[in-house]
Amino acid sequence: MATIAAAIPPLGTRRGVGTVARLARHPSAVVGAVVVAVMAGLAVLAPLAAPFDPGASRLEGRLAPPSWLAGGAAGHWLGTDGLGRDIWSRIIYGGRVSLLVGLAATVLSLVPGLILGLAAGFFRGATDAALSRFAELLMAFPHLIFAIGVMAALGPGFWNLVMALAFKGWVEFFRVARGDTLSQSSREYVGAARALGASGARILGRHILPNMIHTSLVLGTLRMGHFIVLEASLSFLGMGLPPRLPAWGSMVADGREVMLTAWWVSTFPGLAIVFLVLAVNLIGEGLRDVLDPRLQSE
Amino acid sequence: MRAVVLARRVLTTIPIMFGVAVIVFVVMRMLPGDPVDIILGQAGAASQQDLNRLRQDFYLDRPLGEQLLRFIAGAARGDLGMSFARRRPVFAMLVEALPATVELALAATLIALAVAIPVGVLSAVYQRSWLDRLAMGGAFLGISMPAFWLGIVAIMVFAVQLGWFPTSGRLSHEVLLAPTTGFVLVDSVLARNWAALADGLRHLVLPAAVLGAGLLAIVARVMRSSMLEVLREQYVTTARSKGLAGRLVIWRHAMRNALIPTVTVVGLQLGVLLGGNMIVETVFGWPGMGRLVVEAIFNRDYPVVQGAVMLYAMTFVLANLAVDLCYIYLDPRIAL
Repeated sequence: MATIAAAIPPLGTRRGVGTVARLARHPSAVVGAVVVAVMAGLAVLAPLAAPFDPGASRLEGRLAPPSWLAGGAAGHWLGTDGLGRDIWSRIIYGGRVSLLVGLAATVLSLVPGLILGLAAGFFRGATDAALSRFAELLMAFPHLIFAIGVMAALGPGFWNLVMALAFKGWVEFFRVARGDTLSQSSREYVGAARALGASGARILGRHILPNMIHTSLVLGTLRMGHFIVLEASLSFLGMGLPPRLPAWGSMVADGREVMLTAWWVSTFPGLAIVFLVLAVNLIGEGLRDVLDPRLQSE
Repeated sequence: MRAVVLARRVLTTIPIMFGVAVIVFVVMRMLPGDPVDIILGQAGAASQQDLNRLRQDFYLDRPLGEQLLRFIAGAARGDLGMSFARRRPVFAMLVEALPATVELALAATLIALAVAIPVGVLSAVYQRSWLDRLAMGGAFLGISMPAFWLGIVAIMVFAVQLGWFPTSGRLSHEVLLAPTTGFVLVDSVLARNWAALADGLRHLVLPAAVLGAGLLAIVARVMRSSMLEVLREQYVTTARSKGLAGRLVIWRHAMRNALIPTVTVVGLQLGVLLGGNMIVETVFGWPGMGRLVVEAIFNRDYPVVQGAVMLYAMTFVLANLAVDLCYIYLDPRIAL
């Protein structure tokens, strides 16, 4: 009987076939993907792409304007910061932090949120009640304050930063996955699979998950932009990675004091954040239009 | 019946607040560093006797369970304890800082709604026009822009280059205003101090616009998409076929119903605005709760962080409750 249950074609498989092709025809998603690909490429190839060592300071060349401005320092085409470090090189290396933290926080929020949401929506009862109350509780904390508290407790570091974001980040995925699972559980195909003797795990993994995972994937792409901004905000407040490592948020903070005389120190890292978040959000919107026409932005 | 449902809704906030108290207590105790060392470190060299006395004064020598119970019992009575660093009641410190934060959040919300609702409605009415594309492009940019960078750029352009607004603070040094409510705008009206009102407004506009930019973008998008849905409803067609003026149909019939999802978003975002404004407060030197909390976390000032987070959580919970109440007004068919 389980064989017959397995024969019920999961919708997600059919949906998955043309997703990439349709995404490739979505103009804004293509623009977003190109920007993210260029930034990721630069970050991966940072040792080759960066013209200078991002940590090497040269005090005699501090606050030099971009090379294309009057009085600009040759070779430093986005200028230098207060310690004479090359801003373009630091932006390239800082991209590693933003991309990796954003990606890791998204994955570590999505996976537990999805699994717990599936469990709560499918098994209901005490599991659902306990998880839902805990999620409501975490929702009451402002994300930034929660992350600052966790960072203060754990100390600076890459994984601590990721955990600080994911500790509360899973809640949104949980709520969406729970709602979708509740809705899918009442569909006829689930009843049919049950009647054919499929186990709970099989119904969840083989039937419900493929039919609802697209919502979590869309949410994941849109939340990645949010995590990148949160990481930059924490770095801006001095609560991110250790100060010696270049991060876009802390670069903006470095330039605050010299904004009047050296606007380039803050402006370019800030623009890098805007471009990356914009690009990630464009992909998210495109994915939403392609995968979930119900949520389509007209 | 509605009163019973509402009372039940209010009662559900109690376990949430209890859970918030436990979590914030545990996280604060996980922070490395002894608060007493940090406090007395600021005051200079201290003897072991001083350290012990301070620990006793703040019950830090008691078991953690007892400290937690004391905190929860005190919070239930409105007593949030004494600040380690400033030796003042936390409640009084929060009451002093809260008006600045609330004033900023309310002004941000007002600016956001005043711009976003008409923009969202017009974008839907003139769908796919240049106005629609421009507005939604701007909204997309607004969602993607971090507040701290937007704040710095705004200060640079509007405060430093153009000189239209001050760079930081709530009032200029030369303007004197006795605090009555703590809200600068309200106090200046009460005192009929029009110079202070004008100065307060000039200080408020820039941080409020920066804080409201994200909300503006979200509300404009939500308003547009719910308006598009509503405009396809039969009752809109009926109103039009009855010969009602197009403007009346849009602004009175359609907009009221399209506002329902917007209210949900605004309610949820109010909590985010209050909790997330520490960045804007830091950039604009705004003396509100956000700055107080950041400073307290660095000083391991447990009671201040605990009290402030409880207040943030309470605001979030109440904002959700207010959203439910607004539903009843906007759509009487909705039962809670």
